[in-house]
Amino acid sequence: MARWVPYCALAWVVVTVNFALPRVAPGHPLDYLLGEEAARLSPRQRAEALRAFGLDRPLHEQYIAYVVGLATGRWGRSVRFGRPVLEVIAERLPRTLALFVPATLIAVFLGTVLGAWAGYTTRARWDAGVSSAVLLLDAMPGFWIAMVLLSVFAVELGWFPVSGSSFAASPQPWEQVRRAVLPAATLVLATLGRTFLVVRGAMRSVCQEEFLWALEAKGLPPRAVLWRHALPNAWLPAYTQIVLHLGAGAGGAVVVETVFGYPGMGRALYEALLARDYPLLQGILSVVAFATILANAVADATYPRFDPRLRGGPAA
Amino acid sequence: MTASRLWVFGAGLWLAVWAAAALGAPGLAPHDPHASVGEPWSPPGPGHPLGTNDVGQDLLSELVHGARTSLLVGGAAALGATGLAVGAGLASAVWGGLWDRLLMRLVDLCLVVPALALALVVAAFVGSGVFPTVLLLAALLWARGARVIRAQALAMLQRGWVIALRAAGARSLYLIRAHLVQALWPLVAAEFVQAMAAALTLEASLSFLGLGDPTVKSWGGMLYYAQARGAVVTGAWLWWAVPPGLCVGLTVASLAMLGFALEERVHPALRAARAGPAIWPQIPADPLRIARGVLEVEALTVEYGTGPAAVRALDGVSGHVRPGELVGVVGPSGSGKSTLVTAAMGLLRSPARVLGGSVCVVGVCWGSVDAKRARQLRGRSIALLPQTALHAWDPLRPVVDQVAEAVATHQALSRREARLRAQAVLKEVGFPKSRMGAYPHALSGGERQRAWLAMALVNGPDLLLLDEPTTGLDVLGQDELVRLVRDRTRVRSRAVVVVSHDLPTVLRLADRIVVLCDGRVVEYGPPDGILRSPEHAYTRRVVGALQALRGSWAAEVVG
Repeated sequence: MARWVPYCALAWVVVTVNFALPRVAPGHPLDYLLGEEAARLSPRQRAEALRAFGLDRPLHEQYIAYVVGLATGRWGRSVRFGRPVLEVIAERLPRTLALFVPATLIAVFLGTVLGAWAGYTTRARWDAGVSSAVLLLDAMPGFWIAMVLLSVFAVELGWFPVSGSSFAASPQPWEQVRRAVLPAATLVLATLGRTFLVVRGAMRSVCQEEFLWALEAKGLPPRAVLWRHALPNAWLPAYTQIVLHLGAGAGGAVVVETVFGYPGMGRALYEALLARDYPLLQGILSVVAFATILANAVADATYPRFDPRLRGGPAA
Repeated sequence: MTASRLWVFGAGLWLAVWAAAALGAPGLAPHDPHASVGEPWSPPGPGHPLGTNDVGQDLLSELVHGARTSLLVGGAAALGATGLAVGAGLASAVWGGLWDRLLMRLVDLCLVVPALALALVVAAFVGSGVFPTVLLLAALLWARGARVIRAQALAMLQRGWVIALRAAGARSLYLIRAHLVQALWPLVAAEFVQAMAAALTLEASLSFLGLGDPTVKSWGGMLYYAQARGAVVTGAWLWWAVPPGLCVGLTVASLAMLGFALEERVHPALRAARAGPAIWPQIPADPLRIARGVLEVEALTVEYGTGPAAVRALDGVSGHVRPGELVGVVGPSGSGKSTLVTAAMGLLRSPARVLGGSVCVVGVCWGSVDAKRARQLRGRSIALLPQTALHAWDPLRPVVDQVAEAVATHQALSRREARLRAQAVLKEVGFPKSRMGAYPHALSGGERQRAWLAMALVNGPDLLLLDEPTTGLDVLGQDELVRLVRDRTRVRSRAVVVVSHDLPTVLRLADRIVVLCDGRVVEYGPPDGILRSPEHAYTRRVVGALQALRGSWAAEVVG
């Protein structure tokens, strides 16, 4: 029960920030809700609009109405797309997931394998070389990696289409995959460094532990010591951190989707920003935040599966 | 990161150059970055080393002026974030209680918030000036540092002298001012540097999305225009998009590198050397050589380190163990016992160096075999009960699996057979049947010790090495262990060596005793001989103390 308190608190903060933003930001909330039209309203229409949106009521009533609306699926209409916010999200979310999930799995896999090896190897020079390279890669902004990949592989070499904006219209599944290759590669390159650094650091401390030496005394080959024993132990502290990074990555896809014109959630968030489409913005921010909360809850709930010391059972 | 000095130096140099460029931008830049001074879209050439953009502004001048914004925003945001982190971290650690709980909850919140998405939304609504951006980034980036500083401050508050000061009535603020801040500053510096790296990336991302201040030049802003004006689809990306991107990336990487170097100063363990195997003097394989015992040590000399600081751990130690024997090795701490055990296993690591001599197990000498053959010896021909047997388990696997793994490593058996073999030997050493599936943490010290003994014996080794086997056991446990070794090991292993500083235990077990002192064998012989007429000063002192304590007890045991 108590474990859920932080998540509930976080959800509450997100909802409240969402509620507060248009009300503390410069300008009038109506401008955000109606876009350009707001300026053309007569005073009477304005008052009516205020009533229609419930903006004439006391703040606490507005707040309750907002929370209830959120909970019952009334997320408002997108100004930019002229459709219900939930509809836009339902269309964009699967596309982002289709890009983000495989890219993340690959990045975590590569980062783990490289990081585990770099932390374990006794060849300090190799480690320094690989670590520096990954550190550099990690330091490069994701959108810049996207621009370079796009210029080299799409424009100069012509291996991939230049823009993914016709993604939805593209008929063949194969063509859709081809359009997703460069954005996915960017996400992999931009995020694998996080996993690498965390796993490598955890591996370094596992290597100080006594049981690794004892495994060698058993006659185990280094391969078995590394992958069967050292890595699972290094993964424990890394696991939660990696999930945290994944949550942050969900927002980071904004820049990558923007460069490639990939019509996912990140791109929608950006479009909503440019158009000051506040309902859509609130909706997307809520989804991203709830996804992050969910990821953390899942991480916390699954963590004991990897660590027998946290599972119930016979204790000394 | 192995913060090799060269890398850190390079990182510092890069940052210094750009800091200087940022400070002296108006004088250093060849042109006014806002003025159209050349043909639009010119490639690099005389007058414009990096070419011009779509309206003819000089790209190099933009880059130099961009450093100002990027470094200023990054540095100021990092300053704010670090200030918040230090304040919150110290308040949490020093005051504790409710403060601590509230602040750490807040930290948890900030850590899971998707920073970029939130930054975008806030930037879009609050505005894009330099000052709001700095505030926003500081508010997003303080949490990690607060947690790190709190942890370190808490660790320091546990130290003896701080507890003494508190007991003497020192006020919290005095403690913070006079002691903690000084001790924490390398960590604070590391946090600053890392916050700055994160702030730079976020600022560049915001500017790249067109949410930066359009009236100021910045690296992210240059990339925004490069993208918006289509430099990516023309060849111009090479001089328009690549330099600012590299500037952001290399600056962030340099900051990260400095951060790692600073962190290593706080936690020297991060720098701990990785030990490669020590090199043995080459011994030509002699097919006619006849092994005199299961373990032969010949004039073994081992040193740690080199030069005047070198410590000689073993100095010409010789001896052997014949089949069927139980040999005890005793000696005070620092006499070279652990080095001898490690050498016998062939597991010496740098900085240990074998200066001379050899160690051979069943006639095979370490140094004359390749890694694969060496692994076949370990755990099969020579098995070890390590000094740390209580803690030397993989915490994530049941004990029985780890014993079975030892079987499977050396014998071609199916999983099931290996497990059955493991269970049989575990039972033999008196490991309770009901605990078979248990994880190490759920077992008592005695149970873990027994299980290790089973793991060492499970492949029927030629030689069993017991390294300080009674460490961490109470008197009853020690007694049980001695009986186990006497009754069980002789069945499962051809010879046994007990290495210990615990003379009474060794006296009860061994057929022959070797006394090690300062890396040399000072005495050897049967236990009663050593007990009756000890020759070396160390042995005399220990035997004398034993007899004084126990009266005639020792004589009874031996007799």
